[in-house]
Amino acid sequence: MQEGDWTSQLRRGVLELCVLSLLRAQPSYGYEIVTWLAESGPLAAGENTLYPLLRRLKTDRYLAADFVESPIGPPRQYYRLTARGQERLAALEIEWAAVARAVEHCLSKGKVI
Amino acid sequence: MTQPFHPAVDRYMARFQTALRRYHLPDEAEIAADLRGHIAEALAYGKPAESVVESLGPADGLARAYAVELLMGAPNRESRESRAELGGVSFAIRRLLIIFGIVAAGGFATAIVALSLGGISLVVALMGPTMLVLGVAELAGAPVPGSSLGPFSPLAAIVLSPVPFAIGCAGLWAFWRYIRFLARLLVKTLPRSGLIAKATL
Repeated sequence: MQEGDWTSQLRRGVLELCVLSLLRAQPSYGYEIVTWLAESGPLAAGENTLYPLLRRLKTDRYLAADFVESPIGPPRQYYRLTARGQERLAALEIEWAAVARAVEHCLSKGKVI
Repeated sequence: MTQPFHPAVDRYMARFQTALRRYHLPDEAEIAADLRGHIAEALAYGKPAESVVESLGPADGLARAYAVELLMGAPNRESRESRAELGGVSFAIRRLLIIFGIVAAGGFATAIVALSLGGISLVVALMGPTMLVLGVAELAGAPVPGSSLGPFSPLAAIVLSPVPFAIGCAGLWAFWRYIRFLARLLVKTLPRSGLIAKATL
């Protein structure tokens, strides 16, 4: 597997966690989330990855959407975290902490050996 | 949401919707509307239409990405979550109750009763405004020909008219809840795996 592919797979796995986490702070719309993620370097997800994910999170009722008037165009669909989404985020954060600890443990052990 | 965009965007959307149809997703129209919204956001930011389309990738690929995201693992995901939340035995009991619920709520007899009550509720709800109109007409000295307020005086009919209206509306509301309940049960129970099989992923 190429380095780029590996990053891509990793990003795909954590994208849901990142999107839910970003939306915990404040509701946002699709293109803004894309630009936020683009600022995060390796987490920069293409629209063709993010938009289907947003749709799925909405279908799964982790997100709800409201149309809000925009000063520079048609109304925007703002996504916000639902109570179910907050529970999902809390669960993913616990999972992530465990995975991160395990990876860190492996890396440190590898250095010792 | 359906206003024409730049021709390049409209062409892209046409290709996307054609590709999406292959996957038989239950909410194709909403997905297309969502995408149009996302495109409009990018255009409003001043991003050129060609660039917007380019960053979305091939229309076929995007449709496939939606299908993969929405169909793959969905049944497993739902059942896994349900099992985790309820535990094995509780999960089985819940499934059993859902089946009983469908048989009871979706049964022919229940449907007949609900439809009858819905019809009665509609009549009762309409009785309120009718009493009001007849009462006002009679008070104004211009009674509607062939109509009768029965035992009520015109004033009593006017004062009491909100009562049947409220009762009728409550009945219609209950009927609406029944229809929604039935629809949700059906949506929950119908397997989505059939949709996955149709998707040529």
